[in-house]
Amino acid sequence: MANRDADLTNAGGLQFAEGLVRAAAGALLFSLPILMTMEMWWLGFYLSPRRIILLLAVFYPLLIGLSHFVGFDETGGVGHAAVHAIVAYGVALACSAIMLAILAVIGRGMGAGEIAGKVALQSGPAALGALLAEAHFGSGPNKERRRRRASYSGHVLFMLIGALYVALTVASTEEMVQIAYRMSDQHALVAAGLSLAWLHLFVYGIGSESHPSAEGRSMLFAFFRLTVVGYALALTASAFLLWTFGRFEHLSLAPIVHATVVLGVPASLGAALARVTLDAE
Amino acid sequence: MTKARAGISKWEWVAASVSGALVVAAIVILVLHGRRTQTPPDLRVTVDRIVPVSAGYLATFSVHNRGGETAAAVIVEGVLVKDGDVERSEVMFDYVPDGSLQRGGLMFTRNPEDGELTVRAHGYREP
Repeated sequence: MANRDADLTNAGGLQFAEGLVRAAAGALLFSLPILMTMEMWWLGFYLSPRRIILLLAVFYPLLIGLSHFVGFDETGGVGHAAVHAIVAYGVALACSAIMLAILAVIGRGMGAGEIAGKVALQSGPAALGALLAEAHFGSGPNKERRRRRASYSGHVLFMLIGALYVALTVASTEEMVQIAYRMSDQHALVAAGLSLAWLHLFVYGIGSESHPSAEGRSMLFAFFRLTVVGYALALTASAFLLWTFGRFEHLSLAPIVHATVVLGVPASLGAALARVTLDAE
Repeated sequence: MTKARAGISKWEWVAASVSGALVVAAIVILVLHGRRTQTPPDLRVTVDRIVPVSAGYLATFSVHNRGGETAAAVIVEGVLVKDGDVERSEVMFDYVPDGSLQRGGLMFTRNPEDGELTVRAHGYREP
């Protein structure tokens, strides 16, 4: 009996080790482009440490939700998902530190604050990647069922994560503000209209199966309940990322709005395609 | 809650403890770093070596920021005075983060070892 218990724990350990490998692969797959972005290195040392800590804190509840629906291994309740979200941060910190050292972004001659800042800033996106591992590598039946049965709030979470997933790869770059400066108000309006249009197309079921939360309802219902909410989430995620990365400093309101709309373009595409990213129905 | 607890294996707790320790360590370093007084960049340049190269002489140096803030676009200039002649040479660093050290080199046509070489940082901008 005791022997069988030991076997079971070992099997569990092996399964969990496989999960960790998946987490590391997911983290690297998503965060390598961000790890190779200069602005992220620079932000690591000149951003106020408070913003980096805030980014990690804001991401944590999202990571718990993501772990509940996707993650890198099976989870039971929300407590279990919270434990996996912490593990995802650990994997993310380790992967980021190793990769940044290999890329010679961190090394000798640098202060501890600089190294911690560079690594910690990357760990938010990397943890998101780690917990999306099973969306790429296939997930167990439990999580698939959970995603299929997700409530409206679940779908709101999917859209938010989808928005962050696509926006994060470009949010730190100087191009966001550069593009905002070039754009006129008309450009911004067209960009916002386009973002709303593809959100609505994907949500209402052109190009993919119609959204479960919109099934059997009128077009107008879906527009307000999913499209408008999705775009609001995309803009919120964009504004939060831009503010965190210090892109709003010393800007007046007009370029702030423009930059948010600019990052809202990839963010809304991410929200529209969230069901593809998360492998949800 | 108890059901969820029962599903978490020993290995998951081990991984979560190690991960938690990593996260706490990163946050503690960041908090300590953030609590330091925000003194302006304090750039100290020291000449490390003078090496003969094909184009003349290379003076390698390191610039160390001992202040509490990052300096961007740091210009380092070397002035070599030799037999009454003045030779200047300069280089720019994108960033010299606080507490960090960056290395660079300045080229001269004449040997700085027999002249008087001064290397200093000219200025910076906020990132």
